[in-house]
Amino acid sequence: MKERVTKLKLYASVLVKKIVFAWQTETAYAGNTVGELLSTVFYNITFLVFIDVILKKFKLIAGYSFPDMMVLTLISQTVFYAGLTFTYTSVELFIKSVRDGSFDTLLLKPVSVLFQVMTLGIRPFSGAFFSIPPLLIYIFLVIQQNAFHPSMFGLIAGIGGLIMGILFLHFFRFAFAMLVFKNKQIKNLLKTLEFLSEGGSYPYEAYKGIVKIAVLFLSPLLAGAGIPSLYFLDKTASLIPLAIEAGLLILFSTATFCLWKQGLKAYESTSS
Amino acid sequence: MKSPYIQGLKQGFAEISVYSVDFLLGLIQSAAVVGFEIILWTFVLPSDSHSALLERTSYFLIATGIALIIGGARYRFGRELILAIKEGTLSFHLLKPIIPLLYIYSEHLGGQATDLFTGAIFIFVGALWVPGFSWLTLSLFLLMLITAFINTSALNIMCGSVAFWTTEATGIRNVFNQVTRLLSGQQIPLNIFLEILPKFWSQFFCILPFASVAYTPTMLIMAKSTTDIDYRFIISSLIWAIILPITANLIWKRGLRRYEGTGN
Repeated sequence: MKERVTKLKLYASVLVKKIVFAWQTETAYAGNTVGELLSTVFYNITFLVFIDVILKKFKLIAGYSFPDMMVLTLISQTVFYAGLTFTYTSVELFIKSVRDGSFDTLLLKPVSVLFQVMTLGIRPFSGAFFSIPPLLIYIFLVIQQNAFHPSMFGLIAGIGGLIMGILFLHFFRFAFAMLVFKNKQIKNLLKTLEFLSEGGSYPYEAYKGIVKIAVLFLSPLLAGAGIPSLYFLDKTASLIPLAIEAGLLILFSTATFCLWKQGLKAYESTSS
Repeated sequence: MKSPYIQGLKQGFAEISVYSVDFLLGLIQSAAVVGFEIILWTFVLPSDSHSALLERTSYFLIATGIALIIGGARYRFGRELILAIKEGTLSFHLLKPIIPLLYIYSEHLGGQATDLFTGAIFIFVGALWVPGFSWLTLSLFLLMLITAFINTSALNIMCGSVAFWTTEATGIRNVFNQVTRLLSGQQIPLNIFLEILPKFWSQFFCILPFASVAYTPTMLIMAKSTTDIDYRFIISSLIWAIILPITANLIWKRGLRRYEGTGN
């Protein structure tokens, strides 16, 4: 028991140090942080204008009105900013470390290597700094449009779907990032997946046939935001979408751990 | 002796040709952008308006194709400039008897083979559904393609020059990118966007240079007759093709003085 507490303390202190380091890095490049904030605000403004224009002209996007779209966007932006805080930079730094060899230094530390990899680039401060202004805009719009009034079932299933969505996005990115052990030129593949994530901005039920299945595997934002939104907006009473999301989460988290084990083994054998 | 710019062009192309998978992924990226725009329009247009959907598909293919060819998609040349300033590689170019901006551009252009190839395919496929164009619209289209190239290059230089003042300029580049995407008609046809807005804003956005990046040439190629041509966009593009290069040149020179002054 004492050993476990000591280990837990060690992990907690590593995490605290990473958070302090993140703060130092982010404040050192204040100009860029402000630039990125401007970028995220502009993105959301242009997206809002875009949605507003389309809905003024065509009234509905796949059965979603403006208030519905605001709920969907709020959820998709929440998933995105969670990814920005915990996942995107960690994935980027992990790939860089394998490519330039600095990954070796992680192997020498007395903490789980996977834990180190998954917390390499956590950005709690900039994550909060970037997400608060746009999320507040969407919360304001959702309240103003009186768009959020789910049933108890919808609320619970929606929250469950949202949490699973954030985790799915995390493991989805890491599962593909693990391929760096086999192929060093992985960055462009991840960039391509980012482009395919664009589909997450639109309602899930709008997709038809094979595309409906394909986008689930290609766009974690779609599963992470589209499925919880179905429940928050009381558009379904079925648990099937939630089960699909859980299945995707299990699939990608298993893939991440398997590829990690294989990759690490191969890396250690070639570097020794 | 070979021109250094041709060498730069070849070097840029050699870098991307090494990774053939990246070439394919670049194509998928551009196809994903257009694909989701088209999917969105299938959501909003009623199922019976097949011709309207075909027209929209054609529009997005041509608009994205033009933006890819002239470098108006994602400010990639601007990004090259930011990197050259941030990482100091600009200093090497300044020491050589070349025009640094032109050399960086030629190297960048060589690396844009995927975009040029994808852009050409998009325009070709998009144009297949266009009913046909007159000599007037075709001539104006070619003229607007040139002004689009001039304006886009100038916007890229202005965007990249920001790095002279703040080296971490990625965020600013994203702002340029998002504003251009919306106001150039790559995200939504500008005529639909402007007809919803109040008159003041509609006219204001009309005279901004962004429309020249994609909407103006696309409008010309899509025009069923000369009455469909909105000459405000053409005049605005021509005026910006004079103003923007001068402004971009001034900003670049000023930034360069600052760069050299600090001893980089």
